[in-house]
Amino acid sequence: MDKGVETRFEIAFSDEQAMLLESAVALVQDKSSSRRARELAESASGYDEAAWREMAELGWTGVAIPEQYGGAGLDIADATPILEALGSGLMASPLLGTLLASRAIAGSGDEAAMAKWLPKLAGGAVGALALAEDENAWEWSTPACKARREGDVVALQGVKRSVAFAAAADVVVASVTVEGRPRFVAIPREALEGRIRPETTTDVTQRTSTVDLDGLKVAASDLLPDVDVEAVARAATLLQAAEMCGGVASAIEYTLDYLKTRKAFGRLIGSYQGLKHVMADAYVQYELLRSLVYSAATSLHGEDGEFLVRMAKTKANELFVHVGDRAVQFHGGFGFTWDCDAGLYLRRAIWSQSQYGDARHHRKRLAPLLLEQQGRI
Amino acid sequence: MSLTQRELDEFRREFSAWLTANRPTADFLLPQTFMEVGEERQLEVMRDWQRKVYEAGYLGMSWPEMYGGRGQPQALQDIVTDEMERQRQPVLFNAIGLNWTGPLLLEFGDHAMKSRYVKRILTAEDIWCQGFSEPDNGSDLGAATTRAVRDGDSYVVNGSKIWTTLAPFADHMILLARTDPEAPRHSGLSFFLSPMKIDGVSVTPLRKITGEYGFAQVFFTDARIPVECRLGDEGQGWRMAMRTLAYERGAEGGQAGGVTMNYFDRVADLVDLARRTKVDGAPAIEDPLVRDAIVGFAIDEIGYGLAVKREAIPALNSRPGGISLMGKLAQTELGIDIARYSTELLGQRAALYVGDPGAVDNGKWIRNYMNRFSATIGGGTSEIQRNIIAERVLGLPKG
Repeated sequence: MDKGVETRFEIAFSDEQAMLLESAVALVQDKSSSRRARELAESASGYDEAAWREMAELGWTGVAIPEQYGGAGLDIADATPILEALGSGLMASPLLGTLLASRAIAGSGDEAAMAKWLPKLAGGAVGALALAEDENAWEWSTPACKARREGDVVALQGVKRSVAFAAAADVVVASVTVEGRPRFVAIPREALEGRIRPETTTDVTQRTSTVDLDGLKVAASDLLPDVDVEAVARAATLLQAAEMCGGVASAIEYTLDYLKTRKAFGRLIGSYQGLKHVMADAYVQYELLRSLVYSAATSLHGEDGEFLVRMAKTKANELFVHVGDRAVQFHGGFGFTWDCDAGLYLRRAIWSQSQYGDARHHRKRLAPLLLEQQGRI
Repeated sequence: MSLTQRELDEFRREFSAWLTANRPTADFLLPQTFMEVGEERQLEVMRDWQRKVYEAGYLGMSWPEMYGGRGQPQALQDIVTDEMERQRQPVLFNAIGLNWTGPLLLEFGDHAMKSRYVKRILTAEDIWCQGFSEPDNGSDLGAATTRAVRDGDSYVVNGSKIWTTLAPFADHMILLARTDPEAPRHSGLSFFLSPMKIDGVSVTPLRKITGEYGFAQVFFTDARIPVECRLGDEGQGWRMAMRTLAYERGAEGGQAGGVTMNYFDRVADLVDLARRTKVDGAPAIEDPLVRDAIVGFAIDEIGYGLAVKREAIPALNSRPGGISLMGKLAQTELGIDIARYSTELLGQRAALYVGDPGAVDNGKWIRNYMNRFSATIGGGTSEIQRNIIAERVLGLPKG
């Protein structure tokens, strides 16, 4: 009887994306499990190097790299289903950082830098994107890290935080302020010797580092020409939300399994409305989240891109923490133990909300995008 | 007959102009939905309005001409309904006839039934109500206990129906009654097109939380219904009721059309209000807390609209059918959240209700909020919806 809620925003899903989703789901099912995630968490590199080579062979590392440089020549938004699948398997890999590093380099249009790095990244070299800083959280156009030209070299100052797989990276692409404008500098692995301090992360499956750029000098040619730093950060935010969306789905699934097998007071606990209604509501929210993620992917580069990405990340933040929190609670005493995967999801959720902006950050910036622009409601 | 986009646009322009020029007016409050027709004077305006829309050719457009329809494409009717909603036009009140009974009769009725009932639904000569819910069985229709006992060429009916919208004015009721108490619960039910203005049928109006009337409790005491008023065979009542609910949910096409409810439960309604009211002496739309609340509602509203679109992409549906099944819960709970929040934007004047000259927008916001419970309770409560989602979509065990 009710007229349905209508929206002018769209979701498009290409054949390429459908194939990527299918192969990603297959690879994750094959290579990842919570047991495997726990093993990798204890390993030195933190990721499955054989699986990584397979990802490169499948063309995932080159999604955003033009064909002339050995990539697939697709759009970075096409990686959305891949990140979603990785997230559902709690699968750690340097893929996000590599995709973003390649996007930043390709976006610069710098022929020399592209020729130097893109074929390597397409072939499975590890890239890292260094955006985050302590004092300048999530405002991408004004990095506190700075670069100054000194003849043939560029002198850097400042510290980057939470750089994913920096220790494994062949190139770290860092945002810096140069003469009042944000730029990227592509720093080769050799230059970072002794400057990478592994961090202890909330999410034990992550491998991130603090990267100290203070006093570092790199070749002037490593400083990339003007590039839209916000656009790279927006892609990062989208893909992070996609990964979280996969995590939400798995956290729900994991909790449902327990609710269908665990008994209390003679009944399966999933038959109690106090639990099943929470799961029903979480499922509804998950469907909203997944829709927001794929709409943001569809419109990433359009005028609604920022609006949709911020909505998707807001929903991902709020829902993933909620679902992780309930996963722990609904597992009861077991949920409180290290051995229960609910803890892995909750840690992943809290860690993820800190990446590319938490809900408060995005909601604050959504208000003018919603209320001071025509046609969004 | 398929129409070009240009023809559709042209029709929309033509109808929109007609609608603007013919909007009915009254110096008293008109019903917000088809469920609040409580006074004779309201009924009169509503009846005239529906007849006018019908006579102008904008109602029952896709129904067969031999039963009073126009034999035109559904697409035109959909434009009419959409435009009426967009213009917030008064409702077409005979909704149970227009949108549920009419399509049901066209699907299952014989020629005699269709000739007798269908056109009079369109002209509002006959008003229809629905007798499904009972005092002891709200969302559980299969447990209906109202009895219909065959006696010669009629059925003798005893029992009671409740929450019966339009019953005080209705000429007919679609009635779900038990003809075989021995059969398993669903197969003992039959479906009737029961006359209302006969001996043995009495109607007690119920007053709603809003203070208005519009629905009632109906009592059957040895009421005799002719056998030819039965739709379908004995024992097919459940099937007919399920088809009716499908039409009610709008899951099936074939409705006569027209807007039936005007709620103010969208983000756009909230923004409109927030631009006109003040909190702490400044426009509400400038208040950071109000802005943040609106952002939260918008994320859910847009997210749901997108989920409906995503449902059409099979590769992106890991639980097929889930988005459809969650539709009622998602929409009505968001709607009531928005409606409830609107009452926070009225400041001191939230204390004033419909009828007070100082009430914001004639008090419609608070009435609107309370009316919104009809959606979260009626048609299967939100709690039942959560059970359905948990059991059918997520595979959790029944309680």
